[in-house]
Amino acid sequence: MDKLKPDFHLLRNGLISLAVSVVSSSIILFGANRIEDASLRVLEQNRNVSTILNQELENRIEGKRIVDTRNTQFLKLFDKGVWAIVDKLSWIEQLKGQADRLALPSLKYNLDARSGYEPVNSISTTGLTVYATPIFLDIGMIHEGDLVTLVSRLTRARLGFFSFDQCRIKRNKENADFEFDTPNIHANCTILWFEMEVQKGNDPNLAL
Amino acid sequence: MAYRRVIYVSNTELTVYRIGKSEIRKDLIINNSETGNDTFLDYLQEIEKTPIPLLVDILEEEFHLERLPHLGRNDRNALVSRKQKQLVHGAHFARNKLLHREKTGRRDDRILFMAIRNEDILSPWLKSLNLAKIPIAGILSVPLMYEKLIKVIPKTEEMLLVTVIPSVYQGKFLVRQSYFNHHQLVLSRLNQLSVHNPENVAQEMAGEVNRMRRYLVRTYNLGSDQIFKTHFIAPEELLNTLRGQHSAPAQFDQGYHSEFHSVSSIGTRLGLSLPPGTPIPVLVSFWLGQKRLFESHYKDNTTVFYFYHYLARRVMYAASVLMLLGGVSYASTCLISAKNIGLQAEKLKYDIGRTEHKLKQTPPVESIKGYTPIQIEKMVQTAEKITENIVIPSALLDPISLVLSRYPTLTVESIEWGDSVVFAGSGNQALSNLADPANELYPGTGGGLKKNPIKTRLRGKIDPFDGDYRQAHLMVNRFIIALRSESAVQYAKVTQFPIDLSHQATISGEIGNSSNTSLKANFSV
Repeated sequence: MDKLKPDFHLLRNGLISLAVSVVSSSIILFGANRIEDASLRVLEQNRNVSTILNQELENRIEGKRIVDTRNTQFLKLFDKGVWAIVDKLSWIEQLKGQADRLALPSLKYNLDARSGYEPVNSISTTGLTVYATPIFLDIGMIHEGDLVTLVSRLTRARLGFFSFDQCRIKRNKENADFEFDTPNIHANCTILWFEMEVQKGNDPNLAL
Repeated sequence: MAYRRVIYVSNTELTVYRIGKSEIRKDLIINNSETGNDTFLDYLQEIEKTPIPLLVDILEEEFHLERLPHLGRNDRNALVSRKQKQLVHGAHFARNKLLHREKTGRRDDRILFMAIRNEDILSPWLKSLNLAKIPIAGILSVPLMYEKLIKVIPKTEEMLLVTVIPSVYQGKFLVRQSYFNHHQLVLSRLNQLSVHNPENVAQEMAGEVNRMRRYLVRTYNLGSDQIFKTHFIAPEELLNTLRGQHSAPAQFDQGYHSEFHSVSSIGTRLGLSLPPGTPIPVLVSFWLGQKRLFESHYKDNTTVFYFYHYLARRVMYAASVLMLLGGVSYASTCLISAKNIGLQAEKLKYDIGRTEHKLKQTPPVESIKGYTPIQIEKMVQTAEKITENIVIPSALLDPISLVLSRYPTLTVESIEWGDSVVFAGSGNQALSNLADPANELYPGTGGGLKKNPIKTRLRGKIDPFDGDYRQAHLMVNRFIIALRSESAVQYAKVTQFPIDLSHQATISGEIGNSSNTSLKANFSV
């Protein structure tokens, strides 16, 4: 008898039982894991669907609420041209047109470069960026009412949001002579023309 | 589970006992010869290959009690090993056992060395067992087994156990004397008596016992005046003879205290049912078979080879069962978990159905002018924020025009607003003060300025001016009060009067008709 070598004939049954047990256990574990995984997949799938549907439902309810509360205001602003796509050329055309119609003795303009409007942007998390374009106007007027009329007409011209941020109105002469080509009043004003841009990439809510 | 078989090996014969639940019977008894070996091998090949222990009760088993200095573990092992070589040199089956440490003197260790001197008695049987691939559960020394058996006999801390075994083949009696100290075997001797007649056994046995006592006294294991407790275990018939002959005091030296126990009575104390007349080997074999002790007093690689196979097979079976049980239990956990997950999924599915139903009832909001409701919300909010900062000229000029219309002699020379407008003196500070809601300086402002007030400066003059500065001063003050009363005006103050009436100011002028035309009354608000 070789003492060093185990007698596999005697161990055969044990080894077979061990092998059968390993295989059986593996099959059982594999099968059970597959079943559990399948259940988990179904659960995860249902969770995703549920999340999407709930989100959609919330969006619809929220959308309806917004429409109910904000639609009138939005449309009013829309009619004013707040959301209209306006370019600098529109401003030039309007200024020129209104100066002609009001027969302003002189109107000089300067549209500066656009930049972010920090007073709103710095506190806003709405996903919108507000830009302001400074427009410098040098208006020679016959009467101070010309400025009010000009502003009123520009507002109706759907040029978007703008504000007479700074202004200096000064009488030119002691006594007005009311000649059409001689300005009696001079106004140096700075208009801030506001534009809003939707940052779709930054706010997922805005992409809905 | 008990051993199914136990092999009892003596010098003359080998007996295989078959152990039942409550009975023991001889399965095979063969003498120690070559033909006996063949019979044994044939027998082994017929039986199942379950572990069988070998009980060895032979003359050639030696016991030496030694005192060795108490040393550290490694040194003691080396010393014991060397001592064992000296005492039982060449013995294949040898072992030692640390009994105890002495409490007095040098406090030496008491070590019992044991060995089977004549392997030829065991080797043929072991060879047959290995040929038949029978797992040997252990080679057990019968005297050492007595250590466990005597615990059922009371007050046996120090005693001589005398067991009498009738030999089947030679018809002679074998007497084993085992001396125990503190329930531990110290010495054991097996003698074959020369007499066949039980009546003569006592006399010869008494001589052996006396010899043993003298030896123990000589080796300081027993005091010379110490009562020598002797317990005899033998079958009933022999025991009665011994008990009768023992009453004759001439048989033994003085100082003996003897007790007699039948094998069956010891069996009863051990919980074994044995018929009267049962010899001691049957008792030991039965007890071992029932107890199934996993120990071996003597062993080598050859003897344990197939037993290790048996153990390995058992371990594999156990591992298989455990693995299957583990797999099944883990699988059960997984399936229970899967069922719970399935229930959650079903609940979610039900919720999804409800949500879908709600969605059907809530149609999506169409985009308005290309913008989604969320965008509209954000845009309107932003527009509101911008509106707070928007300045419309008419909102500034209208209230001023309204007030001026009531003062036709006040002529405006310039109006300006915006950040460039800075009030002289404490004007800006005054605006800051008004921002405090608690400031009630100016009624109508609500204790503070409205959001984002616009600073506006108006410069004008009184035209025509007749030189009445008091009247001019009064008119400017009235103008200011009128301005303040306008709801659109948050705060108004005169920054320059037509004439500076302060103590630090210097006033100069010309009085006369021609000078009235050059007089001016400018003011600033």
